[in-house]
Amino acid sequence: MTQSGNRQESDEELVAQTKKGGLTAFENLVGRHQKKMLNIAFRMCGNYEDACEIVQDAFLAAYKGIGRFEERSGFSTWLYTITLNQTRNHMKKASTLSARREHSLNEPLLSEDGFIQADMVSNKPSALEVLEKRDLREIIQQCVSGLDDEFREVLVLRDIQGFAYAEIAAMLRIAEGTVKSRLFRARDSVKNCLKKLLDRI
Amino acid sequence: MECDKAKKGFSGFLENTLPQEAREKIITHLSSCNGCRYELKELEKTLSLLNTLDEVEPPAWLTRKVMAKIRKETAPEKGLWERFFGRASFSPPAAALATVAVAVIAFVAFKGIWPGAGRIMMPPSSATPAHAPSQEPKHDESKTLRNNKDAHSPKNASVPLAANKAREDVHLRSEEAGTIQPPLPAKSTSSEKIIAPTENMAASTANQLSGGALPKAKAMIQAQDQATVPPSVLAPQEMAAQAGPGLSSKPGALQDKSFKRKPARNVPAATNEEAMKEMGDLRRQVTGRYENGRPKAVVTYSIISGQEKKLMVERFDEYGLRHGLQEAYDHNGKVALAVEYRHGKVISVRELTAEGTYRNGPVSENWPWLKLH
Repeated sequence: MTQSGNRQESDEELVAQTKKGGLTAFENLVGRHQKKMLNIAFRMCGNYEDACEIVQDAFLAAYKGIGRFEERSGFSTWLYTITLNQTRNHMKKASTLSARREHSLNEPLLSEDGFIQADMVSNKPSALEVLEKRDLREIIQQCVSGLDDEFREVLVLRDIQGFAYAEIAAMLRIAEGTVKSRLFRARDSVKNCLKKLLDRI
Repeated sequence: MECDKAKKGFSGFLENTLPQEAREKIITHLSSCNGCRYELKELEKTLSLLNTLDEVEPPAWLTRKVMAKIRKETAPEKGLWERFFGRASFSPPAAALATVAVAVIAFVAFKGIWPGAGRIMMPPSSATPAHAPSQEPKHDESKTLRNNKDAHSPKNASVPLAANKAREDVHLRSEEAGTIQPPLPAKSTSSEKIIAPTENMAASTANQLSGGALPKAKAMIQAQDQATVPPSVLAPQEMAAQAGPGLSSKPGALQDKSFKRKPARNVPAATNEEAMKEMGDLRRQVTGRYENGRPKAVVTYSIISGQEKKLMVERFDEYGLRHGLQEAYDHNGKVALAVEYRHGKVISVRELTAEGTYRNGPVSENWPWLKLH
């Protein structure tokens, strides 16, 4: 589960040390998990700087709440849950600030051309410009970013980060069946979005 | 097999998680259904496109920054204490919190919850900073009521119910909005003294605050209270400002600034509280006994991820000076610093060490601002 680095001490041992006030132990944990957390946050919000901030806030929240961590789930799972929560908060704040609301996934699925929000089209370069100027990956990220939180989460965790269904279910505290059904719709939406932006797949 | 059913199996089909039987069914269906073959191809392509999103590397400074943030934030009590009754130079987060405090001071003041001072200063008929109760947003009384049972001193017992109720209303509001109110001048020990040095400031403020509105209920209380000691609802921040040299040494400057800067934004109490939660997750609450309408003890909570944590307890004497044990808590809910005051003067200090034991004063380098007392 751990990503890299120092293997001599397990997450659990380091957590125990942190609980006793060991900052170095926690620093170890930060080094271990920051990359995965950053990637989750980055794919969720689509912005590297924001993702860095989210990771910092997530670690801070984790440190403050480490007393509440019980070893029922893995430490990394717990950290990722916090990361996702922080991401949600962050994006809520950001969207309140810019008064920009993400579209519900229901709407684009129902309507013919509702998938790309109107203001997105006006604010950002057209699909053609995007194609010309930007990397394909940015288009993909744009489609991912267009999803509603709950659908983006499962898609990012499964199709980009490659977590197992069970772990995703634990992170999001929802049933595995729910993960699957959300993923089904998320993929469908992304597929439609890509089709639209790329004209073909 | 129908197309809809087949499509539901596509994910499992591509991920190789389907039981053999279901897999074969899909294969059979695909061989006879162009539409589904196309759909499956599209899904496959989508997944492979998503797969092209590479991992990004964290910046080299990330760990360092995380740890710096943790070090800074895990001593929030210090920041708080500084903020409420210290004079330390503010670090950015503390400054942000302080801004919230100032904003709330301004907000509450603008809403006109300053009955004591207003009453002394202004002619009774027009000047009491006032609320129009009808304009107030509804608030959840049950949430705020719990600590207000003793909110009125015996002196007020004779005030008729309606007036009493109105005053309680004001009090509740003040608490909801974060309970921060304009400080009275420093270390005043009688109401006469209060008037003199700040009359201009307070009067102009009161003028600004009242905005001409004078609800009947308030007028009633006022008339009834004219002869008595100003009762009511001074807030803890007032005490803090009084007791703290940093704030109290130049109350006029601080207040004037804050009043000018913030009051234009006349936000309803609920929104304001929400903003506080978001910005600093800070809430102050007045608990315990009241004497002459002044709180004896103030408890400050932080709300982090919806969890309420006690941050500090402050106690005051009848003049609003720190008196008794003042406690700051760390994030584990342990007392990190306990300072005993006697009428505004530090008597003793007990501090939690890194080893988890307590050491008795003198004040360590960790609390430089305390030496000023």
